[in-house]
Amino acid sequence: MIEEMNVVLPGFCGMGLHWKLDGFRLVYVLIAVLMWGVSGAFSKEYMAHYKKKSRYYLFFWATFAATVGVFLSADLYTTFIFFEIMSFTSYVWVAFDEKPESMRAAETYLAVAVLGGMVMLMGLFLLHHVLGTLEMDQMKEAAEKVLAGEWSANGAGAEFASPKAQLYAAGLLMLFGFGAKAGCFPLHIWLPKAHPVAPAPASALLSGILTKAGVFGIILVSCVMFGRDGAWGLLITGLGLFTMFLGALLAMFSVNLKRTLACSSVSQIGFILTGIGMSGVLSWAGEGNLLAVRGAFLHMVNHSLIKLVLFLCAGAVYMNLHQLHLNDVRGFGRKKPALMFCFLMGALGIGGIPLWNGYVSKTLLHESIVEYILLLEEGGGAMAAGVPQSLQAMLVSQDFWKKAEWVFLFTGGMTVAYMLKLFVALFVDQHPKRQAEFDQMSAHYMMPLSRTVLVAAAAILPVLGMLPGLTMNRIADLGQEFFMAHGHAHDVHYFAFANLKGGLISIAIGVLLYVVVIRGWMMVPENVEGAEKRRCYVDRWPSWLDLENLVYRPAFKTGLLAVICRAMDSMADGVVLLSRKTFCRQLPEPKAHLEDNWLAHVLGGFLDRWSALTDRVFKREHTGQLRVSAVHRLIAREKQMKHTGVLVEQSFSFGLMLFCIGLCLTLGYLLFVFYGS
Amino acid sequence: MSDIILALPVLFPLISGIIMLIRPVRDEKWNRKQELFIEGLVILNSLFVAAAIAGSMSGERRLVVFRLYSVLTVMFKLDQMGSVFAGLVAFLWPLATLYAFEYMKHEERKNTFFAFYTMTYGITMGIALSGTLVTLYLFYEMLTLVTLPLVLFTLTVEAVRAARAYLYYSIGGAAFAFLGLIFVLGYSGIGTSEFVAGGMLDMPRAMANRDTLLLLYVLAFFGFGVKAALFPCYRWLPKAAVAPTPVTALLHAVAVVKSGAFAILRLTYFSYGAEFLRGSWAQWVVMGAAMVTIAFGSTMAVREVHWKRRLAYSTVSNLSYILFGATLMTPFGLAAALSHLVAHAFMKICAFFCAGAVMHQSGKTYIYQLNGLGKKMPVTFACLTISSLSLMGIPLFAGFISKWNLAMAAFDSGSGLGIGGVAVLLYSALMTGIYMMTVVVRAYFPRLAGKGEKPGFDEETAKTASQEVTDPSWRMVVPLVIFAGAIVVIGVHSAPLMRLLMTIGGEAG
Amino acid sequence: MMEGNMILLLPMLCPMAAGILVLTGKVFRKNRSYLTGLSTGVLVLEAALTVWALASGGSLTVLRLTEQLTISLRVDDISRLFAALTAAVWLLVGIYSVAYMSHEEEEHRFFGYYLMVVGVLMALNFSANLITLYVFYELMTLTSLPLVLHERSREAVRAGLKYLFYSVAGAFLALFGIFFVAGVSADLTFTAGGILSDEALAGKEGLLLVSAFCMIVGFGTKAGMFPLHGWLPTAHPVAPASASAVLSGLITKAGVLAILRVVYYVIGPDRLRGTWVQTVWILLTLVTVFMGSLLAYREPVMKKRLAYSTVSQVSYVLFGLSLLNPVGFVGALIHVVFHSVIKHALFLTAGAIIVTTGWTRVEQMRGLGTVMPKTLTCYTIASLALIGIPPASGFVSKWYLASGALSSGTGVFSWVGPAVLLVSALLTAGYLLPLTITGFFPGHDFKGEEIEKRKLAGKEPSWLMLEPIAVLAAAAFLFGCFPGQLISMVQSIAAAVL
Repeated sequence: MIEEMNVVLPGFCGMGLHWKLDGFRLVYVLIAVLMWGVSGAFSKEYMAHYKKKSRYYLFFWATFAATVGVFLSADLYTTFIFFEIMSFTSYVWVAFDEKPESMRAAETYLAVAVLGGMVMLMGLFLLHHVLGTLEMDQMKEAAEKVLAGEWSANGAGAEFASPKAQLYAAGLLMLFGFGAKAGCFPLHIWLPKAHPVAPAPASALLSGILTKAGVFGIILVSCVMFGRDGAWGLLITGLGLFTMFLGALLAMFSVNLKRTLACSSVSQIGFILTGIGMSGVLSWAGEGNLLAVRGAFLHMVNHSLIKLVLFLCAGAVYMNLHQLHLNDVRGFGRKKPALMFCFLMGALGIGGIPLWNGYVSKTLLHESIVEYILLLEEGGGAMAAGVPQSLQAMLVSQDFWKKAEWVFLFTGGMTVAYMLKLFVALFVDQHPKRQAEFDQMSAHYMMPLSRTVLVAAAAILPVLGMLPGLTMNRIADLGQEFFMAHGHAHDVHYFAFANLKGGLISIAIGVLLYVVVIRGWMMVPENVEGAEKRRCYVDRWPSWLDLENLVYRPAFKTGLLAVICRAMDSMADGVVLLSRKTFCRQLPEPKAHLEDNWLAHVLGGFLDRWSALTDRVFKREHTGQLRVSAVHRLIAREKQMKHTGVLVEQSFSFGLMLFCIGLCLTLGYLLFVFYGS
Repeated sequence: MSDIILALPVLFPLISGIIMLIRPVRDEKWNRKQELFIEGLVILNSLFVAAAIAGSMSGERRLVVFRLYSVLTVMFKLDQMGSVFAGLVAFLWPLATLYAFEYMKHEERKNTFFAFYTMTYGITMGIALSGTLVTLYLFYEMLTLVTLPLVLFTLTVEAVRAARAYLYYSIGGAAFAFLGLIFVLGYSGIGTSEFVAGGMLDMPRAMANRDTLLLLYVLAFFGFGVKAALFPCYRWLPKAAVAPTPVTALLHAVAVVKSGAFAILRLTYFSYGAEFLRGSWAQWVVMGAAMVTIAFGSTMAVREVHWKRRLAYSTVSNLSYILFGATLMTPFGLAAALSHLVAHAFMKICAFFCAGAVMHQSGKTYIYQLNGLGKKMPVTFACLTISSLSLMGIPLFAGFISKWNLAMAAFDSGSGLGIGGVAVLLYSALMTGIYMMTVVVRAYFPRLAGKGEKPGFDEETAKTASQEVTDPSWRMVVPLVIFAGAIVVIGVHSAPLMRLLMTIGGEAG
Repeated sequence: MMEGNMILLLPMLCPMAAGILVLTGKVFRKNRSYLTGLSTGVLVLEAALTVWALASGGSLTVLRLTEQLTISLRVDDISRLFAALTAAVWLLVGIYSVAYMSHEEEEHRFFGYYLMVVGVLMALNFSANLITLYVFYELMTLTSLPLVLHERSREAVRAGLKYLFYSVAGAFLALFGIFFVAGVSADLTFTAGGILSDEALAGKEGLLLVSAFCMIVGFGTKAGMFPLHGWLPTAHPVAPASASAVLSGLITKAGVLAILRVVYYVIGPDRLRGTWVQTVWILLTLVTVFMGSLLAYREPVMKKRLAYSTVSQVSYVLFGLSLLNPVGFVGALIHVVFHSVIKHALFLTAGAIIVTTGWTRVEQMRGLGTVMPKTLTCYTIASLALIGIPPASGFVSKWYLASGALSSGTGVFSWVGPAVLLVSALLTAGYLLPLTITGFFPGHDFKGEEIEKRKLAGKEPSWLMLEPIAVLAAAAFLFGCFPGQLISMVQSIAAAVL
């Protein structure tokens, strides 16, 4: 329908940039424009009392440019360039108000962004090496050739691994990089921490559109490169299911308004990933994956619009109270019809309540799972080969997929539960002390501009929900061929009982969960004097159970490596110092040679060294005055001995004594001779 | 008549020295005229040497002086190798004497000093011009006797001990050399012990008992090696550093030690002959000894703190460069050895004279006292820098050319030990860099106390060094500058010198 | 004696003569404006002479040491690349140091040796044979020594001596290799693809590899490669900022040029491909890359951190060269240019920070954004380029290096190499960005009392210092966006050599 418009900048940044406009990209650029417009208008009021506004707006529009650059990109090289720019410009949002916890969250955000970027770059290197091209439209058949045969772009040289293994490695690395930005399971840690600290319009964009840039990449990897690969489909579906469940769980436990919405974003991304995964599994099974593709795409669109509204409502709350803890904002929404209308639209949308847009996309996703289960019951379609045995078993086991469907519905219920929690906290409960103050605020809590913009944005949701045929299907038709979707387009009549049944089950579970878990367990009676007994929200999530501090930060401690590197760094210096100590040691200055009292010096030196040694060994405290060297004493004694020696020799008695000794010796000799023989 | 010219350079300084001893001039009456007279004598003698060299260019000259016994003839003969050594000594001696006048200004007993100093000149010429191994041995012994009083000159306890050590080592070494002399005479093909390029042994008989001859060659090598400060018997050279600088500079850097090296060259290439020794175990023994000395000498130099003793150890190491070149037993090896002999003479005499000048002006003898003197004595330390860089082997100076030739000769000979020798050469060059450049850098950039540090030793030396420490008078500076200039000229334009040395190597190899 | 194009001699002699004039002239000691005027004038002249020499091309035999050894200069495309880079960057840093050196004493000594070193570097770039390269490689060490120990403090002299002895040790190690090569082939002139003939090497393959390895490690000393890199982190922090910028940016490139000439123009890459020399060389470079960036990551003092970063980044280039394939070669050469530009910008910023605020450690620099926002922005652009964030220049060279490694067929190294490069890029972000973060985001409760007390707010360094930094930062960014012209030039070199 839209003839493709190509823009190419050949020499730019090495391999040149290449943008393209087709259905999917058009939809998403429009959504980006809408979201930036709404949040831009809203932030005019929100940022009124902040100091560094110019910096905020500079990076606000820089991120817009980068995001549009990502969505329009037609080759992975361009995607990566704008992806990195988007990461760095959006850093400023998270670090905006420079509080200690926001700096820490920003640090995590930057670390994940740079780490994800580097891993993705490694994936790009491998991909470029294996496929020879990064153009999205040429990648599909190149990938198929590689997966099928042993072909590789430059098969020359001793390859370190088979092209197929290299392609899978590249895919996994790219999944890691894009998943980091999308916030799927292992790397979702930055989302729940970054949103509460970022300004509300910024966090609306962060979770509304930036995560979709990550999903855009995941779609590319999953649908374009591994479209027909069952194993990959199973991996993405598994990842999606787990992220969905974890996000919802975190949201239920969270007692901070924006943190709940952030965790809900993680959960919704999980829904989208499940859709993408299912499209892979269905096309592997030879069935048409239209349902999954349309479901995933529509859910992306719906989630962007819903989160825009919800976050701006949260922004309105924060703007007035500068508080986000549920206990502090309780009852703020009472007597504020506009706020209630907007929040309700968003809540119902995300809860998947029929007649709202969330219901449409969730139903499609649910149908795709059900259709696959039916396919399995009829004995499976034409399963493509090439899937390792263990995964093959899981792919075809019916109870695995029944459990999957059950998780899908249960998470839908949890979504309803935590949205109900927020709604009740804001609009039903009453604040123990400041309720009256909240009530008078209802006149001036939002300026007319932001009020109208918010209400308009909220109004879109029911319109989409109520007329799915007109709006939703047409959007889906636009976006589906980006997913390489195939299969007959049988239209889904959404309000048929079979589809309604799924939605109603989720709502029932939700209400049940809310009453039992949230109301029962997570709220405790608080005894505030004066006001009648209330129940306040308690954070039941154990504080130590935080993936980031438990796993990631210790992992990046570089203590041990630094010791090794410092040793290597000082290796050459060590050799020089060692030689300076051993065979190149400086000769001591030659002392003057002493001729006469040689013995005194030798003995004296020995005695000095001995006493120094004993001092050091037995650590006797030094006796203050400097130890007198033993040499002098010995010299004096030797001189005295010489003097007496001379005197003795010259004396007469000495001669006499010698004569006597001589006499005795001769006498002894004579006796010996005569009597000895 | 023209052959007398060969005897003149030897006898003239000897006779004039003896006359000076007979009619001594009192120190008080020692005046500039007397110095001029001695300088004139020395320059005249150098002219005689020049004439002799010019004469020998045309044809081989030989002069039989007298005949001890039928075979032992004392004969002067000037071949090209002799002329190189003679020319070198003739060029250096007048400058050294000029330097000595200035240095000895404050000493007493000048007359005896200069008498023996001039006699040494004659005897060194005798070694250079000696035609037979006997003549060489005769003058080799006389050299020890003549230089003994010079080492004894200061008459301090150390000087006496040093002289005693010098005497014992030299005489002992000469005894070993004598053994080698006898056997060469015994197996000589031409009756007398006249040097023949390529060896004088008559091969069939020599080959019969080759091992004894090789053993005796090694003994003679270590005999002459004593004077060339080979490893086991080098201790006398650092001890002799206590002698006055002209003595240590000229004798222990040029005349005495070079005579030892020259004698070894004669022994190896002109008596035993390179073919006889090449590839034999004797070659590995002597080359090993040379390599050990190279490494040992420069390592000890790094350890030494007394400046002149450090330069003495450097001489020990550099002499073994020459011996290493000689023991390659190839024509290129001989040429490389001679090139280092010439280059090292200039480098080391320049370094010793700088040390002497500093000692003369400021009385400083230890390394750490020299910090900061660079500014005060610019010309002296500039020459010291040039000689240090050249000793290290930095290109554009003489040291690099001789190191290059030695390495090329070693690679050319292709022997494994030769290549190991090159590695040792480079290790020693690094050590030379360390012990020479520490002095130079510290002299120009003394370590001033930083902002927080207490004034270090350099400040005291800078302050206490008497303010008037300036460059010495022209009589010391002129020789320094000439030597530095010679180093640079050889470094940059060494082609003619190398051509001459290659021709020598060519015939003798 | 002098045959050939005499113009080649001018870029070498003119700065040397000016340097000696400045050192000896009394007038320059007293009168600062003469000194700075002459220096900048000579640097501009130098740039012009270089362009003229490059345009005129040809070769020149300056001196004949012995029959085999001649000092001769020649212009080929490698020298064109390096000479242009040297002339341009030297001019910029010269302008910077006019302002910077007013804070130091004895400036005439700095400018004298500063001018002499550029003459020697130019000669090194134009050298036509191995001996000329070795001669000027040694002279560069000697003339750059006074730059290192300019402050003449106790540790400066000790660092200077360490620098001298490491460089001399490296040079002598390389000399062993040069002896071997001179022994095997009579003529030492550089020819693309190697000059050693097979029959001359008949029995000496083992010795060839040993001497090649000695030359690589020996010349690698100046490029800060692993075993003998110890001098770099010691010498740079003590040198004045403009000296350490030039030391990091260009004098390390002399080591790279020497290795490049030896491997690609003397021994020939085909003889080393697949041998143990290539494997050990790749291993050494990767170890240096990782070690340099990790030690930089843990180093608090700013200039020492940049010195370790130089150790790591120059080994990127050596890694590219060690792959011995065209793509890696292209990546290496463009990283030479990019790293030189970026590292100069970073060091000059560090100098500006020290001069204006006196802070040397990174944690002191909180709120630097308020003191000198423009300088810090240039610093941020340069550090983003160094980390390899597109579209800045570092990314392009990393791309070529990694794809060169992948297709180099060196077994396990072909993927370990890019992995190490990326880990090092991560660490580079770890040690460069904190300054920007503490600078621009000092923290909510940061009142900047010290900045008020010393009235530092908005106190940018003088335009003389800011100009070069801005030009370098812009170059670092624009080179990344439009590298086409540079890459095609380097590809033509690679085609000739490999």
